[in-house]
Amino acid sequence: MIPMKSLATLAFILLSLHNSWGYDYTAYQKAMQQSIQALNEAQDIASLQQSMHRFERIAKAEKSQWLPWYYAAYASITMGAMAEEADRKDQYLDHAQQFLDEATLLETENSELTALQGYLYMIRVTVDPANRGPHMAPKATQVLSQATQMNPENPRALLLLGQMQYGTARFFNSDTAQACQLVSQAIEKFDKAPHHDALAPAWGKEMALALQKQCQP
Amino acid sequence: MKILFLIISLLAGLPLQSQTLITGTVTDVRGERVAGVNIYLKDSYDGISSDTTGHFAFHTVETGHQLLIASAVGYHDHEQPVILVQDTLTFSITLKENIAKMNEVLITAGSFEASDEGKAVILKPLDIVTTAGALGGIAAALQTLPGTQTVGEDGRLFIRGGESNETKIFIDGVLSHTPFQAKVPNLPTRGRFSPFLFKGTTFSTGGYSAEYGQALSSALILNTLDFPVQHQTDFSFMSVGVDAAHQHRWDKTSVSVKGEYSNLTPYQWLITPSYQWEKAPEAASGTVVFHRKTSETGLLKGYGNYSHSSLTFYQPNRQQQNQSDVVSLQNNNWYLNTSYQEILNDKWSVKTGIAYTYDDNHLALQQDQLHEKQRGLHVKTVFTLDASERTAIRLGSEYFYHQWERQPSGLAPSEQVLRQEVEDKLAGSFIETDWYLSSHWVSRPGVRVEYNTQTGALTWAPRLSLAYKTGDYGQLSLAYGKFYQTPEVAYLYDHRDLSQEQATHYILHYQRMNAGRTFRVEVFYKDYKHLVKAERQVYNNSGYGYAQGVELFWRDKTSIQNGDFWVSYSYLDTKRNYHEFPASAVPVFASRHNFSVVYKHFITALRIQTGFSYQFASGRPYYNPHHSRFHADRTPAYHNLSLNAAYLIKQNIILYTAFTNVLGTKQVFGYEYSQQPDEQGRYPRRTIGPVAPRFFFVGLFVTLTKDQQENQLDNL
Repeated sequence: MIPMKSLATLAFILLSLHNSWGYDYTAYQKAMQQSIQALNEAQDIASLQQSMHRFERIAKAEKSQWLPWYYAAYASITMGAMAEEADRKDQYLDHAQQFLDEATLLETENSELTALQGYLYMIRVTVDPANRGPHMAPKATQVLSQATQMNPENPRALLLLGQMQYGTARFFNSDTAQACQLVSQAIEKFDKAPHHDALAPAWGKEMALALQKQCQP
Repeated sequence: MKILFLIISLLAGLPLQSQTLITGTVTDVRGERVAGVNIYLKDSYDGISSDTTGHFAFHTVETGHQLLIASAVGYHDHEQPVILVQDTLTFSITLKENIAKMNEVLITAGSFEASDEGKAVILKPLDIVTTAGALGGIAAALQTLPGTQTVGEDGRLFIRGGESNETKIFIDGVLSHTPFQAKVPNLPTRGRFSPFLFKGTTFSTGGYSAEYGQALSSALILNTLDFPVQHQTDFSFMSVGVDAAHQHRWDKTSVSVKGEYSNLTPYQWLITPSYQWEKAPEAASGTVVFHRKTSETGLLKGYGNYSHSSLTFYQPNRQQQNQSDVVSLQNNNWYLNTSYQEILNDKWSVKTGIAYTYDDNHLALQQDQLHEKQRGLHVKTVFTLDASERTAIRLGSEYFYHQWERQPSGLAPSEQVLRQEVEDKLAGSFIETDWYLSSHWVSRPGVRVEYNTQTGALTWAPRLSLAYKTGDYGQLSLAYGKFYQTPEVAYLYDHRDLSQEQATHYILHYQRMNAGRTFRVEVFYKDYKHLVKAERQVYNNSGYGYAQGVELFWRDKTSIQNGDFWVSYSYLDTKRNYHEFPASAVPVFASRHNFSVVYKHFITALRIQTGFSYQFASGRPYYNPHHSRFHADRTPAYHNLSLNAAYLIKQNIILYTAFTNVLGTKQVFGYEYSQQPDEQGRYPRRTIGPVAPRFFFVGLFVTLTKDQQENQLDNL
């Protein structure tokens, strides 16, 4: 028999937790939604950096949420892909890796995070393909396939794996059919993806459509 | 007015709470504006990034005591307590550079680094493999860098007037006792290790860290690959042999095995060898590599190799040109190298390793036969303490054990009186600090102590390196150090009381790296003391010598689209009075001028990487009994133009061809004179040259991996 007093305390704690969560969560939700929108609209390095900083601030204030770190890393990887100078690219990617490491401390075994790690490796290869390709390209492929295994419904994992294979196939003048099939699969999954969580990663469809265009002869 | 404000606020979604505007500028310590700084209030979402002029402005609804933070990559976080009132607050923030992270000044005097990461990188691992003329040999590729000497009949590394045994090779921190294949006189040797084994290389031509001892001239530090990514099987089919390797990985463990076989017999059908061969060089070797992740940060590596090599050929007799001497070699070599590294906590990390070598060598020169055995052990532990952001301390201890024995072979056991044995035991310790005085200055003082338990000799070797960043791209470095080494074993057999040989290095270095272009210039002076010297058949440590020079290096990956080249020039002035020298003279391996160009071009459309290298070395001295002055004569200059091309047939298939000394220039490495004059009172001689005027190599390299994507598709 649980004493009444304990029950009351428990109820009180639960309620207060719920309240504080409730309050913070809406603020968090709102800040995140705005930031994600800003990120989707960002076209250049400066606005991506603004966005990255915004996610970093949210992440540091929230402490238990992995998504702000995830988006900060994604913004930083995009900056790495956009930058022109090799040193600068690496610097952004180093930063992205730090964010990703923070995210993995809070959330393990998540296909989205694994896919992002694979994306990071993929951009690392592009910095110096001749030297990094031989050992880092397989690593990128491996991590991306792992992401597809963790969640076969993750369209980003499929897209990135497809992109990796497409690039490799193009370089070697070999058949891109397998890569393009992955991209088509990714597009199907993008269309089927549930939209109930506004904060969940949703990027990549445009990238997939652009790649699909290249796939068509 | 109030209503208008209300409407605007509502439209802008601003809550009607008291607001503070926080504004200002961010600069660094030199007063330059810093863009891209994240400025925010701790534990809130409120903040902004500074713009290109270092300016920032943001609103916040937070009130009271708060903490304003400014953070950017390469700088320390700036924290400042603020009291927020409904007002505008203006700050001018100064960020301090984070020394450990950005624009760091690096110790580069005397060293070349090859790796995929790292700022001081001069060469990438792939550069070693793709240098024309190097044929995949690490030492041969390094010979295109300044500070090295081209010594065609040897193949090992001769650095800045130093003998080849003054260069020591360390693998994962521990010594490789026999890094080169067994050698016969006048034939070049090759390294035992494939460049594909290593992820990073530091090649130091002087003034190196107190961590490395027992090398008077140079330390070549090779770091093996980390944990492999995937299962992999490799096959190589080459004009000189075949290789097969398989790598298997589990979650925390991986094992690789490799078998190699080479035989130059078919190759000799194609060329006109300079020597007559009874048995072309043949070698077989087996390698096992083991990796185990002992924790998130801990890694245990093991490397074991056995190799066997043999050859027999005829060398023209020095006395009678129409006669020849038979030279034959049989070598068995075992090498084990185990290392372990772990981060103990946020301040301490440890690296430890052990290497063991057993080498068994039969050499026959005409009737003289010699059986030599060598056992070597090296144990070493190094701790690193990140004492503060500005200071890292490294300290370690090591123990070297070496045992050699030799005897004329084929003798009955009762006659083993001729067997000679010698041991060398040496314990060493070092401590060294990387101390950043500012973001522009770094110093590395260190000291190394060695105690030779055989001779009771104690040596103290101080080392010092300094580097100063002169601007965004340039830096000036200085290095000084004392270096000791046990004399060559050939002298130890009969003279066990010989003490350590000594060299002192002084190096001044300037380097500028910007946008894929690197320029280096280095001036050095090296003072040799206590070298082994024969005085009336008795060997002691009275030898001495010096080496001084200027070296230039230029690498440019930017100016030519898809092209990449480097140029090295070394000027060397050296003399020694050691071994059996009658007077101070230039040693036979030293040439005054060494020049090399390496060019690589990637033709993307054809997936071909092609290149050439050209090496020049001015004439080397040789001993001529007709000349009253010792080493007064010089050989003709050395030229070598080599070409290579690698074609990526498929992602996993590479065809590689290389052609050395394309022009067929006559190369003379030296002359050997007969000990007795002929009837006319002349001393006949033989010319030491390459095995063949040209060398042609073709190889097909195939890599098979388990196609994870394919399997993956089937699973979906």
